[in-house]
Amino acid sequence: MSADAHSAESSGHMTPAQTWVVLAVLVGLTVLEVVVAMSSGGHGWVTVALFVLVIAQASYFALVAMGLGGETNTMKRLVAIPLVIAAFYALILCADAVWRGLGWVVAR
Amino acid sequence: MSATADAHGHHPAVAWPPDRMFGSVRPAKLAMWIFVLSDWLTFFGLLLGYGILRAESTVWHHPGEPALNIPFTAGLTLILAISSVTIIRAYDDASAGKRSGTSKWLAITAALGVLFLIGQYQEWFGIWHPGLMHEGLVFGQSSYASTFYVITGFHGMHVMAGVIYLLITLARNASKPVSGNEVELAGIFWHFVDFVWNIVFVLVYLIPGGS
Repeated sequence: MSADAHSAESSGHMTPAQTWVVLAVLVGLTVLEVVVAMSSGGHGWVTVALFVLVIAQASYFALVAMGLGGETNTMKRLVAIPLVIAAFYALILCADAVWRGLGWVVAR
Repeated sequence: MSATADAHGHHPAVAWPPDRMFGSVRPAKLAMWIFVLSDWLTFFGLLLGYGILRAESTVWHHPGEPALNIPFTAGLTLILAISSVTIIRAYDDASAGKRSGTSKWLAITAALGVLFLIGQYQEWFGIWHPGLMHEGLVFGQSSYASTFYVITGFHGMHVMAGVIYLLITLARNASKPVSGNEVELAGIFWHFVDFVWNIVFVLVYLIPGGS
């Protein structure tokens, strides 16, 4: 078996029907994000809903469109660990920024 | 493929046994993933700076600054989503040895990338409508304006790099058929560009301003 054929087997090709499903999911999530953003809900809830949707979309992208779902667990961890650590780092720093922003308002 | 390689006097392709840790992932694909991850950390730094500036600001959107056109940008997002599917079709055709199909889907993907760039040019500078720069969103005037131009501009450069990469692959396919593995590498980069745009679209365009 050639190297090409071997890699093709492991990476999992999509049928045209499956590519339509990928497109439908990506378009559906994008439309849903826009609908949520333009809804009249409270800012907090809209923000939380948008974060959930974007995480779902990013995960779907990485696992299905980029083919990470068909790789080994080591490969998945290689990609996921930097993303999770970065997200945790962002959470801490943004929470600190919100706190400092509130402190500025209180000081006024 | 081996026979073709032999006919040209090259060594036949070697089928290495699957690696215990990474399975049958080729070194080039692993390298592309590592590159994409390091590139993501650069984007992450920009998005984190945006998040911190926005979280600690009391006024994010200053009076007189134009609002971002969400429906128009949603259209650009859909263009990139479609291009993510067309690059998958290019990969499938290249793996199946369908040379003309590979060229067709690569060309469509590159064209969609160019369409996205034209849309972004319209948004910034204006073609058929005044762009944000003419409407009062001036770089350096506020954190809102500066972070918007830096993040979307950095992403736009990635789209341009992706289009060039696709056109080079297309040109190489015109001289001799490219393999599925080669198109897959271009596909990982292109998907990454779309992946990042979805995050930029939500964080920069859709998260509602508090003030």
